[in-house]
Amino acid sequence: MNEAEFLEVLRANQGILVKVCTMYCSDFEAQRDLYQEIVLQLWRSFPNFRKQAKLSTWMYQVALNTAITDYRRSRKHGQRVELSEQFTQIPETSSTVERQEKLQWLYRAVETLSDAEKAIVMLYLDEKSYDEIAEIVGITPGNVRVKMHRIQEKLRKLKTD
Amino acid sequence: MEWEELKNTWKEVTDAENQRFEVSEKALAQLINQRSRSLTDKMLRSFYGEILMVALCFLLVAFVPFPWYFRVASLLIMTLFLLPFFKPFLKFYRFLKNFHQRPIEDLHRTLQGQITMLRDYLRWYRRINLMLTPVAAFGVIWGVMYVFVEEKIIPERSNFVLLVTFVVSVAYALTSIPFVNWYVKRLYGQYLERLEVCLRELEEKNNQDL
Repeated sequence: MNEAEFLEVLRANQGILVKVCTMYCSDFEAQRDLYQEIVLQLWRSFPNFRKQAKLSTWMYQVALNTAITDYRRSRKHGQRVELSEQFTQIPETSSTVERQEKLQWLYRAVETLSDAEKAIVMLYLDEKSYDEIAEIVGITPGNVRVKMHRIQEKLRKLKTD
Repeated sequence: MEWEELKNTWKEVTDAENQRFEVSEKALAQLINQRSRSLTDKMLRSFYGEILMVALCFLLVAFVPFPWYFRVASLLIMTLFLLPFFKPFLKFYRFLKNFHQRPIEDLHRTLQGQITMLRDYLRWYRRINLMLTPVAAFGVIWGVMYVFVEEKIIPERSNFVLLVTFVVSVAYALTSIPFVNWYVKRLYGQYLERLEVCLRELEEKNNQDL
């Protein structure tokens, strides 16, 4: 696969990488570093991608493995690549009080979760079935269900506090 | 808590973030050629550095403190000393070198693999440090004596000096054990603990919750 084809795959599944970076890093600088590392790991492991597997499942696995197991978050930032011209522009967002409250609640909720819980919640929020979550995380669907129940309790408690 | 509400907020956030991560072709070319910050790549880079340091120390200790006719013998002794480390070194090097060529596995298996690899690495790193510390100390003491006393140190003719140097080196090695332990823990220990917590969490039995 050449760079142009890889870029096409990357653009088509861009959302996966952004979700993982948003879930595991709170500030934009750290998100950008993690994003770059995930892209690099995707590129390196693409020759070993088994075509019978789902592309999105494989991308989630590479991204989560990089974010949780193979990437040491450091205060020192590495060499940065300008991704595109609009890279530093912050997207226009509505700033209603209700939306801000929702966002604050979301980030507060994410902070209380462990690395494993973040992975499960992220996949659940991305409409993945318990079977798919189980395949990506490597636990049984029953275990996913139990962990989701526990996370729900945790978040409910957080909201009432 | 409403999951639907959370899903909508999450979608809103990530859709907005999406625009910030557009990759151009030029940026991609740079990205895939940049130095990786992954743990295994960092370890491989440190591994090369450590091999270079060991080789340098090895040659210094084997050659500098001794006269020419003892150098072959000292080189042989040093080689025999390092021989047991050769196989794990090679195994570890191959593992790191081929790490990104492996098929991608799920998070659970990846965690297991990383933890095993880190444990092995830290165990061997600690052993090698503890073994090489007295050798390095021995070499440094001989070297210092060689420079300052300005005479070739011939082991057969200076048994007392040899004994004193040996005792000092062993004492130095023993006192450096806490330091080596602390350093190994600082190097990857905390990171290993984080991975172990994550693995335990994935593996824990949840029967009590059902």
